[in-house]
Amino acid sequence: MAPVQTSLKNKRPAGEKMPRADFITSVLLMALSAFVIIESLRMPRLEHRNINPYTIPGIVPAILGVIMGVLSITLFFRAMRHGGYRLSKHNSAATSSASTGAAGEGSVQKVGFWHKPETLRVILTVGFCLLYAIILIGWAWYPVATFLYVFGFIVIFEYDRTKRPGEQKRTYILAGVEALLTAVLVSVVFRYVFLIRLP
Amino acid sequence: MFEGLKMLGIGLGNFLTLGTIFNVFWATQLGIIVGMLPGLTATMGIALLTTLTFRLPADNAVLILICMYIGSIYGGSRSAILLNIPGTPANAATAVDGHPLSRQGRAGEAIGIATTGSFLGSVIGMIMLALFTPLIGNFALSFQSIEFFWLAIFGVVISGTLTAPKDPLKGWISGFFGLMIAMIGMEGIHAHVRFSFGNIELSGGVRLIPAMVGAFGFAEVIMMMKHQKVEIIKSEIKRVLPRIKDIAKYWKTIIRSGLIGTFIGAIPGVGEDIGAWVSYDFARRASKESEKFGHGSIEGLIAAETGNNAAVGGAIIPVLSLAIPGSAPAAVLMAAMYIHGVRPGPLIMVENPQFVYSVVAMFLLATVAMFILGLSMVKTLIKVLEVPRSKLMPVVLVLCVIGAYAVESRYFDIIIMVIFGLLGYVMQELDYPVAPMVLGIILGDILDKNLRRALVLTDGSLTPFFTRPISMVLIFFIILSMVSKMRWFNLFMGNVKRRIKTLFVPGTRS
Repeated sequence: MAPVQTSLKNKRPAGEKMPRADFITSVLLMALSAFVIIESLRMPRLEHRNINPYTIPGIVPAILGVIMGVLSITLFFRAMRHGGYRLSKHNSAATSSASTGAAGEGSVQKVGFWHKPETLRVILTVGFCLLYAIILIGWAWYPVATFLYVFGFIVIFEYDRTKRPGEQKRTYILAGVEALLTAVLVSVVFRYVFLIRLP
Repeated sequence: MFEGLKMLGIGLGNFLTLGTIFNVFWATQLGIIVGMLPGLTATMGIALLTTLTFRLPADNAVLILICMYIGSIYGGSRSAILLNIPGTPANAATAVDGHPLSRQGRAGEAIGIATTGSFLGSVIGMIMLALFTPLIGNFALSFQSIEFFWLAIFGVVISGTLTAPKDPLKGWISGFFGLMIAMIGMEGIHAHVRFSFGNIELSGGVRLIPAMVGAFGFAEVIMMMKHQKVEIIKSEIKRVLPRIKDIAKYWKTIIRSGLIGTFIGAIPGVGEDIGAWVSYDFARRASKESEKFGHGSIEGLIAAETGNNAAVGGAIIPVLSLAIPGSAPAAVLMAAMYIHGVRPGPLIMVENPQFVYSVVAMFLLATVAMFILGLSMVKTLIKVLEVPRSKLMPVVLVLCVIGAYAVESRYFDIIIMVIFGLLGYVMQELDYPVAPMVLGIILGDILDKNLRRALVLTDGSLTPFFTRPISMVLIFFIILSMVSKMRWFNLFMGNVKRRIKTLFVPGTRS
């Protein structure tokens, strides 16, 4: 079967797109496979229980570790071939023409990863979600935690830096209303209608 | 055959009560909304409804989930047409021709055609579901450990190949990574705890629903927030009801796409998105007006939407007959069946054949509801698309947390959700498909138990693994799917083709 387009954005051939990222992932995956293989070999063979030696617990993880090792070594060599071992972005872009980064995405200028607005948005999203899921829920009463999170999230993303904080009352109020509604509705509906215990 | 029709009738009869019909309509409507909202996928919708319905009787719960499934795969076409953003990954191919149509001011027409295409695709998927589940189920009764072992490998490899057609290596890595994750926790033969590092929570293993809510919910929230908001095309929606002659003209495309969609859906871990792309691709090649594709071709739109909804029916076939999910949403559906005490798998045609036909009946009800709802209230519903992401996404995450937590009330599941959300996001950024990993998590247990059992049965000999007929077929497909992606193989096949041509066509010899 001929290759089928499965995404609207990926147009470059495999391996040429992100050799650096592939290089790093392949090293991590090789380490993971090695770890899994060693752990599987060290796993008890349960001889005292007189089990059939073909059913020892470590056998399947060890096989999977070997397969993963082969796959990650393949990825490693492919990334090497495309110059992924050069850890400075500048060099790799110079050697393989259609290389990594934002240049191919159609943006005019190449902006550093840490200065892209998307990076900030991702960090903010992840940070807020972690704060809510890991810290707030364990610490505060569920509806309060949910209110704080939804309110904070909306305000952070809708805050307009070009205006003074006092001029954006509408944003705060709307965010507050939505946060309150979410917190109350989710708590009541899940707790009393669907009879689910809340965190 | 008639036995089946009778059971289908009984199943349908059981559902024709006012309460059930009400459930069908709200669940399908909710599904359409979930599908429309980018960031809320079918997988996520089913996972959330699983937690909401787990106090209901099994039949009702599974019915609601199937309505959500069909509704959301269809609903995604709305945002694909109006925003050029597929509401679920399954509608990516819809956007290619649907969005140009709405730019030409034909949004209403496009929605009507997408609805009809989805309906017909769903019907084809349903017929195939009813025909093939019993056949495959009965065939699978002869499977032994060796076959199940190969089936697990086959699932992971083929899912990796097809979900990452540009870079199958990453698909396979994702699949085997999923199998490795499945090794965490207590194993099924000697109850030995593996890879838990002394952590009691980990010794229970990684639960599927929290992992999927993370990988398809939380990861999607991050993805959505990463990109700036987009403008809605303000296209006036005039006529939604499609003309019969517009549809009838493309009957060949519809049947072809329906069959392709079902087939792709039935392949383990290869879901609606690939079903839509492959039917779209075939439609373009077969079309007389292929130059219109990508610029608002009705035929392309029909092919994509028929393909993805047919894949829903296809994806449920292996769930019922082999207990192997055909797609990510079907994986959650399968997990929900287990929660409700239904055990899908080869024995279902022996133990509980009525359930199979009940599922077909549910499918029929959901399909009809989707068609009716899809053609009504279009203008009101698309207001949902105007909700900005910064207001919607925090609510989605709140639901992710509940969805992960509710089934077992374990705080640890929230952590699993978060970890898989981050993992899913990183994987998407690095072009690793997530579906093979999920399939791996499910198949890991099957692979583990069956490989060891098989080794006991053969007393350590590997020969039977390669000589039993069904194994040989599976191995053939595994090797074919791996080798067909390699450059030297394609070069070699190209050479062979040319040689053969020169033998038969005189004058081309060089």
